[in-house]
Amino acid sequence: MSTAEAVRSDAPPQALKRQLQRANRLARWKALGLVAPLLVFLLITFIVPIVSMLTRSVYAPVFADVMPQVSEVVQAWDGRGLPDETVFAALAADMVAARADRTMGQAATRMNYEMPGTRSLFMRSARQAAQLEAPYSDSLPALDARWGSRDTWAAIQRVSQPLTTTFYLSAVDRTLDADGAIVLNAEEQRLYVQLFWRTLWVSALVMVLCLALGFPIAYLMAHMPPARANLLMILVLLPFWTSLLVRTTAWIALLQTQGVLNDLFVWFGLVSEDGRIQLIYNQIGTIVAMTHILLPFTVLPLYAVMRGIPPSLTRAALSLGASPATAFVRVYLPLTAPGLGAGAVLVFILAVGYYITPALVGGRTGQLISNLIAFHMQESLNWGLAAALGALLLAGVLALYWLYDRLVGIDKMRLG
Amino acid sequence: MPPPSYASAGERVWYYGFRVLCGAIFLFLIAPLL
Repeated sequence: MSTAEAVRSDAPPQALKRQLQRANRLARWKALGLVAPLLVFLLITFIVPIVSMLTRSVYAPVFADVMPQVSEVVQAWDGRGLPDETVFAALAADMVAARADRTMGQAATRMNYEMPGTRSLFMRSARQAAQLEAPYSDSLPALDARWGSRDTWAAIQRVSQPLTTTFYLSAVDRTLDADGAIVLNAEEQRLYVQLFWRTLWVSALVMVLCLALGFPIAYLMAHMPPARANLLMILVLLPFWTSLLVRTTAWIALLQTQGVLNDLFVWFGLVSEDGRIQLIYNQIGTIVAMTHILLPFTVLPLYAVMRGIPPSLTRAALSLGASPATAFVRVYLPLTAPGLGAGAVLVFILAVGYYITPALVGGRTGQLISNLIAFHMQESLNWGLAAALGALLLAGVLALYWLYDRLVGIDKMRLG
Repeated sequence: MPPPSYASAGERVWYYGFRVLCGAIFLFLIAPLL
């Protein structure tokens, strides 16, 4: 029933208004009903997993769940000297219970994130906890000297709380000491800050390369008769239609030390036979392959924008006395800004989270932060740290997006 | 369209240089498929 049918012309004005309102409300509910399945689908498959993943980065109650007694009594410890006998006894009792339930491993793993190396301490002590005798404040340090250390107890006090900043601190190479102060990790353990910078640097470089390579061919296609431009467009789209995996492995064949490119270099005498250049399994491989894969994302918006620029504008600038370079820089280039902005944002955001290509061709020095997130998700099973790294990456991208909006304006973006 | 007969040497170099550059980029795009 449409709005027009719902409103009868012979009704009094008040009733007419009410009828119109009811018809409008019905139409609104109908529209909502139509999009509801999509909204629910998005909520279940997208929002819920992301939120649950992000909460893992700050919420880790596993230690308090497995070892409830010591988690409770250790909170009363003032952090000076060592805790008293009740805390030691609670720990011993918890370890005996956790070993019987086979949950000791979970608590020990969580403890290990807080203080590396303590997993074995917990597992070994739990095996012998049943034979220990009171007073535990003597027998536990006798079993392992680390039970007599204030650092260990400070870490136990921290993991006993369900909310934690450990994962975010680890994600920026920092940790809490026994006094609760934030300290930088040892030199050889620092990894993530450097990787974040590398990820941003590689993404920025790939973005600049894509714009620099995409601009000339978009310009060429935009100034061609449409039939020939479409032919060239196939060359741009062809990589799009090929599997990402196929393209990445093709780059391995091209760039490897015994590959096509090195063969050509040797053929032309640019490098000697045993001086073949290492082009893959390092940062160069990652950058080349990523630039190739992301290039169409700059060409398409640029081409769409350039097609819409009237050629008469440049001609007018030329006839008014501008040199070709001035006409290009002052007239043509500003008009392509929406396409440049769209291409830049698209490529940068895709590049920041790129995973498959760096994993395949990156080697050791070409790995990006996403590879480490995958490592923590799949191999080390430190989901808290993976979530923290992902959240930082998300925050970084959103900050850059906001900056772009302030500087250029999202409404100026055109995706073709 | 090719440059007109009255185009200067610089214009010709620019025109063909640009074509070669674009050709190289297209080659880069489809290199993994070749």
